[in-house]
Amino acid sequence: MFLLVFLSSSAAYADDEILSIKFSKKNQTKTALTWIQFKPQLVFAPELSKREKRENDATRAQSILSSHEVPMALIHNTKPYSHVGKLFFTKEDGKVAHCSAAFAGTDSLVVTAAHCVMSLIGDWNSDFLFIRSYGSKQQELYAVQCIALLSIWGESRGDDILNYDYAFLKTTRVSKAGGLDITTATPPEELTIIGYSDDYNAGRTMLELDFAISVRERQISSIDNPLGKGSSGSPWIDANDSKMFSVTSHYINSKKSVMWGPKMTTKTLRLIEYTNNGCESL
Amino acid sequence: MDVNRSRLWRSSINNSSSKKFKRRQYLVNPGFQLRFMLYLSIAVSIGLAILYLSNYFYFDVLSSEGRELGLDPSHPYYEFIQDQRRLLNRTYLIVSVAVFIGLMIFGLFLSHRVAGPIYRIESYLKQVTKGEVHLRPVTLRKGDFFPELADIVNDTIDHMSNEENKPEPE
Repeated sequence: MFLLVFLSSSAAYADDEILSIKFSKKNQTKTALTWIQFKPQLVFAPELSKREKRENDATRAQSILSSHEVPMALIHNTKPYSHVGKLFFTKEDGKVAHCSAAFAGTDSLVVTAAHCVMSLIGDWNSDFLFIRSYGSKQQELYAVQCIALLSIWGESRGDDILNYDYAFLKTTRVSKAGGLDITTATPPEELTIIGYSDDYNAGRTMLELDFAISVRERQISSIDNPLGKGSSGSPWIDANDSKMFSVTSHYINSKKSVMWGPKMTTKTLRLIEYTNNGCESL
Repeated sequence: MDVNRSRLWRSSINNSSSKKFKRRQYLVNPGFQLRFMLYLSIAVSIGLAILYLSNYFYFDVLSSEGRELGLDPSHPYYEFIQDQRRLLNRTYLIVSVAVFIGLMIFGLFLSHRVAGPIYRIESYLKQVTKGEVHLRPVTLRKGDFFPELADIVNDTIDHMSNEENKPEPE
């Protein structure tokens, strides 16, 4: 039996196919107070020396990833890097966690992995805060107004749900950098993944890696992917036109170097419309 | 006749001490009392201003925490802070006015307790100087400051009366 490993560091409204959650002003204020207390710039992945089992893997990844840093000068203003950032949140048990994410679909929607916003047993995480261009001096913080994902993720069990491991977050203001275009087309043979890895600089540095990919019916896999934990939600982009095909979802424990992401479908486009409408049906 | 007058005077002290003086006029020494209340109001105002500035500083720190975090100026967090600031200011204003009025009334009573005995002794002594020594002895209200002054004045008058009434040696 395969063991799936997700890569995040760590009153819903039901539509037929969509689960969503809205955050009131009071809730947004609570979120702000949470992050004033925790300070996202101080939320780092554990230092390598503190890791036990993963230390060797992490050290190896560290050396591989060092050549994939996105130059600071590009992070804030150059597409597609300027769309990418880090999503901070707290889990049901109150622990602080983070994922990679990116503005995509529209200039006020952030895409990430569904498991970053809702656990496999259907519990919503909370206190979401997206920081675009995280790690640069010009990083920008975005509060979240509502989140939506396909209800299969929260309500079903089994491997099928991995085909829907993505969620959209509506931010309270638009991104100055705009958003990535999402496509349901068949991806090319090579894609670029931009995101953060706990295994490199404690998750503080944006990384960019090109991968050969393999396409299945509902999922895409990237081969020899060392990004590991913290890279969940990283957008998979065609370097030529910056179109987004998937987000980092999970790896299978027996084959850590292969990372999987769900394919975008027409359901995704409907989810985008729904979320962009303030998590309400049109 | 004069010797008896002194005795009568003493007995009248005991009788009159049981009577309660009620001074209806609270501003008996306006110069002193108003100055006293002015000083009190200045002290109270300084205290209230320090409290207000502390509140201002507190909310300013909260706002700067939001800015430091990177919250957009339109974020509800700032609305929350403004709401709290307004609420606290309103509460603070009401409480400040109530405290100020309360303390002024308290200051008037307190200064009256100080000025009252002095006024009473002053007017009594004026009557004495006019030769009206057969007046009732001076008494002060319970709770007045300097109650020993009345005793001293009465003893002095008593002593002076006794000296006057001593029979001349023949």
